[in-house]
Amino acid sequence: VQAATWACRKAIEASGINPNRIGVICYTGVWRDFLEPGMAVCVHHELALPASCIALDVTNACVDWVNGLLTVASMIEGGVCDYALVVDAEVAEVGHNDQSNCYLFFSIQGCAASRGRSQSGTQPVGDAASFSSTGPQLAAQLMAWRIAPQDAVTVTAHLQHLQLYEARHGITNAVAASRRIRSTLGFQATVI
Amino acid sequence: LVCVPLQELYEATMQRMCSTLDFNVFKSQMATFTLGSGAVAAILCRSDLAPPGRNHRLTGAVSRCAPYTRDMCRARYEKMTTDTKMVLHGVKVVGQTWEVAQRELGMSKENVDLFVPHQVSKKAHTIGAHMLGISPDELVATYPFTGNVGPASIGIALSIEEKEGRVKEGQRVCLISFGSGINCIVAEVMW
Repeated sequence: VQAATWACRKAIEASGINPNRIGVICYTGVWRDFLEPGMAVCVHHELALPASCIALDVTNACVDWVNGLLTVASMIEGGVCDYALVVDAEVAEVGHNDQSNCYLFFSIQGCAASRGRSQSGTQPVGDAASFSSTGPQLAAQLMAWRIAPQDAVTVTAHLQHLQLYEARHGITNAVAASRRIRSTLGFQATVI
Repeated sequence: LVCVPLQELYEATMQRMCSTLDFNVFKSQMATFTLGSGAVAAILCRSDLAPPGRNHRLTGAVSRCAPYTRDMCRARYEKMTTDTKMVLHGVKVVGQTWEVAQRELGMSKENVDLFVPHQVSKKAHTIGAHMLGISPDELVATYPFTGNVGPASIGIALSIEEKEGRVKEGQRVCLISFGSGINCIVAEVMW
């Protein structure tokens, strides 16, 4: 819910549209925090959308974001609303089991990041585009997000993406990758 | 209900894979590690209400449903299994949907400026490109660094293309979405 809310806020901000004019919010993820209530209802609440705004979820595996676009487009065509929001969040929720650590979870060299604190919930801290970065860029981005090395951030990397990392950084295995992340960023790193 | 984190899904999957000598069981869970995290949102509105410079128009879509491939991928919170042979078979549905898109939407590989497909893997990209009759390099690829972010993949890929200046006003964008079912949708956006 938090990641979906974050994405919605970014879209609303980029468009300059008054959120009170949004007539439909449609959540389209495979991932859902609950079986019920619907995810769209929860994001509706977080964004304080008007009571007139319809909240609905569209679930259909990996096509559901485009299904969502077409569903709300039909509603706009049919005069149900003027503006509609379509959102999907496929997000790792981390940080449940540790009271002190702050986790940064990312697919190496990319993907969205989630920052989790067990007491305050999981907060998404970056978007996909800004997260495609080299080590120093990543360090700068982490500073911008006010995540410090002493927050004991864990960088978790997909083995699948290791080759890309290796190609860019001239390192040859997972252990070296985690050492490299640690030495570059000062963070504990786990490669899975 | 307690949400099982993706990290826990990975760990549980690794434990299952390490505790078997059955290669098929091992292989069927491999695709779990292609999953990535991400979020995307889009606002749609009537064309006359669109903010200046953001009047990208969703002008049409066609779809195909191939339910005989419905066993291809089964996901629960704690486990995902994939029949990789069926995935490749399912990608062929993309070719069938593309044929309909050419007929119904007047699309061709020559008049589409940007192809943005669902992001799965190099193999899916290569086969998909072959179906479209284009080089894999002509397809937008974000899976090498985002992984497969499920339905958000296509929106994230489109967002990255826009931020990096590779999609320009007036261009014809072809969204190619496919997912378990298999359902495939080819949608046209005039940027």
